[in-house]
This record gives sequence, C-alpha cells and structure tokens, in this order.
Amino acid sequence: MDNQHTAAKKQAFMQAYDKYAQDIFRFIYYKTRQDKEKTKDLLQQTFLKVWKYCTNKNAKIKNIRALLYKTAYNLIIDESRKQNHTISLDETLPPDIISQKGNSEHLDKEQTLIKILNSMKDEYRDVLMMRYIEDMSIGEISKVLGKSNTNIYVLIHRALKHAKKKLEEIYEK
Amino acid sequence: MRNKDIKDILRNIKQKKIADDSLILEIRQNIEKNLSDISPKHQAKYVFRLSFKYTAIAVIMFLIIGSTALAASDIDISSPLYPLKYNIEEAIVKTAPKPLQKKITPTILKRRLKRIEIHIKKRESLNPRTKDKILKSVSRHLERLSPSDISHYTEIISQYSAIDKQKAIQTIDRVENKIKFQTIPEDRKEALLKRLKEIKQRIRQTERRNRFNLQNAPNKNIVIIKERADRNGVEFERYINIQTDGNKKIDFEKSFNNGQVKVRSSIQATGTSVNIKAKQKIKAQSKTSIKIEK
Repeated sequence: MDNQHTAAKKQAFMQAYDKYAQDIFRFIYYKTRQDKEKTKDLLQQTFLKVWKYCTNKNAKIKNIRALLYKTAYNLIIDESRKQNHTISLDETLPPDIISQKGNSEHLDKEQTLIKILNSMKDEYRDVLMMRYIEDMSIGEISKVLGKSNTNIYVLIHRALKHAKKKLEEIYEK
Repeated sequence: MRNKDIKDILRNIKQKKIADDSLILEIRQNIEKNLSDISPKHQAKYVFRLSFKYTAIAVIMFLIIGSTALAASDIDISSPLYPLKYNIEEAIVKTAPKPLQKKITPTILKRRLKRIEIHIKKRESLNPRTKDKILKSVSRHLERLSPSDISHYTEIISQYSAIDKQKAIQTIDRVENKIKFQTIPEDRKEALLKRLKEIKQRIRQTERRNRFNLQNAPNKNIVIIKERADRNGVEFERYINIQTDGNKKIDFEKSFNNGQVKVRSSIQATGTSVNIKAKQKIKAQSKTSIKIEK
C-alpha cells in the first residue's frame, strides 16, 4: 500500500519535472551567467531537494512551480556563497564598452539585453527574468523573492526604466 | 524605445530553447535514479541509526560527567532519602508562587500617597485625565495587593475619595470581594472588611457634603458672604446661593471646627427683581433678606 502510494507520488513528481524542467533550467542558466555545467548540477539538486520535501508527511504544497523556483533561487545563492566569484572579463565590461569595441553590429537586440541584464542589480534582473522570461505571476515572484506584491510592481517598473535607458544609450552611440 | 519593445525582446528570449531535450532527459534519468534513495523508509532508517548512535554517546557522556560531579559533592546517593529529598525540592521549585510584578515597598507607597495628597490639595487644577490616571493607578495596585497591604491602601482610598467618590466605592467593592474569597485568618478578614466598610461610609458622607461644596456647585452665582457668626463660642461661615432669576436661595452654614456643613433652610427670595451680576457683593441682613452692594 505504502509502496503504491510512493510510486504514484513519484510519477506525479516526474510529470512536474517534464513540465517545468526547461523553465527552471533557463532560470538557473541566466542566473548563473550562462554556465551550463553549473546549471545542470543545480537543476538536479533543485528537483532532488523538492522531492525530499515531498516525502515529508507534513509537507503541504500549494504551488509546485513557485516552490521549484524558490528552491532553485536559494540553491543559486548557496552556490554563489560557496564559490569564489570568478567572472569572465567580457561579463565585467558594461554594455556601452562592448559597443565601443565595435561588437554592437554583431550583437542582436536579445544578446544586448542579456548583457544589460547581467550588468543590472540582482533584484532588477530577477524580477525582469521571472516576469517576462519565465512568465510568472506577481504573486509567485513575491513568494520567491520574499517581497510584497507592491514592491514587485515597483521593482519591475524601475528595472524596465533602467533597461530602457541603457538600451537607448547603446543605440544612440 | 518603448517599454513594450523591451518586454517583447524578453519574451523572445523565452522562445529560444537553451537546453536540448537530450540534456533534460539525462538529468531526468539521474533524478529518477536518486529518487528511490530518498524514499521515506530509507530516511527513517537513517535517522534512527543516527539518533541511536548519538543517544548512546550522550548517555555515556552523561554517566561519566554525572559520576564525577557526584564524587565531588557531598550527596549520599546510597541514602534512601536522596530521591525523596530531590523530588520535594523539585516540587517546591515548581510550585513556588510567582513574584508580584512590582513589589510595593513602604517607600513607594509613601511616595504615592504624597503625590495623591498634592493632587487632592490642588483639586481645582485637576483635569479629568489626571483624575483618571490617579484612579487607575490606585485601583491597579489594589488588584495586586496582598491582604496585609490593604490597610496601607485604605488611607489612599479615603484620600482619593475626595476626587471621585463613585469610583472609590467601586474599587472598595472589588477589594471586598477579593478578600472574601481569600484564604486568610477569619479575624483578620473581618477586621479588613470592617475597615473597608468604614471607609465606604466616610466616602458617602463626603459625597453628601460635597453636594453643597462651593467649588462643586454648578451655579456660578454663588457669592460668599463674609459674615462670621459666633454662636456659643463656635465660628460659622454663612453661604447664600442665589440663582440669576432670583427665585430661590439656599442658606447654609459651615462651622470651622469640624468642617461639617448643615443645610439650615431653603427659602424664597424677597422678590423676582433681584438680578445679580457676577462679582457683585451681597450682604445678608437677615435670614430672609439680602442686600446687594455695587
């Protein structure tokens, strides 16, 4: 009886994996500044951690998507604390310097925006990614980041304003 | 560039597949393999093994430390009284009454009494808020009192009764009830209740007296007639209360000796034409007639 229950639970969990794995992968990928190997590890860890939580008898999950994002977000923070911060030289350069190097012709709008996202404040980048790339609701974002809904609205507004300013600066040059 | 353009670019990023299906599948297989390792059954076993190990270590440590401590102390474990004594001590510690939130020492009490005295003396300047504050503080402490302290507080009650009689009586009623249900010697209980009854009576008398008190009178047209009579060696002060329409007046006297006030008579004014302005002096010629001085 118990085995049957566990097997059903496992099946449901794997369905959740099939549904959200791509999204979580992308989320981690951009958060870890496009490090594929690290993303692979973190994705695996995220799902295993959530499964561990699911096996707990007292566990109550209302929104598995939000839980997955929150777990991934916390794991990324843990990972960044563990490791020495090593960033490639290209990433440290602000987008306007890249454009001065003459690469702007080759970079399409998306790549420029990704560069801008990487140079942004963490909270600005997180809200923009979650809202427009991951298509998360304001409520879900507020749960993941531990902030109020109003605060998330304000952050999105400011992040958009910032991104717009940076993009305009680049295209003017 | 508009905000919408930025949003569109960001949404375009979403359309691009970063991870290949093979990569996702590879991770899926890894997770599936690991899922069976983290089944609840496995976890329970692990926790049990872990907890058993740590419990064993803790017990050994406790025994070593305990035996060393006992060897150092004078406790005779072999004595049959040892566990009993220990239990009693523990019980005493557990059932000990909690200390009062704030111990009221005689000094604090005196200070408080003095403060209230000052307030009573400056009764005219007391505003309702201050009055309430005093009442609250006194009643709060009464709630907290032990029976032995009540006698101290009776003084406060009697003094503050001059400010608000009704509340003072209410407070005393509350204290009375409290004493009735307390386990104190009967004679002590009776003495306290008697004392409280006396105070209540005193307050009621004050209430009656204050009804004719000049400062409490609602009619501002009361004029003190500076006439002092001397009857059989006792000095009296005479008050006359005249309403603006001049229809009524109350004449009463106050003796200076014991502060008692008696209403002597309530008589009609001589005529309806008596109009008295504020601060006009009035002189009583007799019980029934008055003279107004300009």
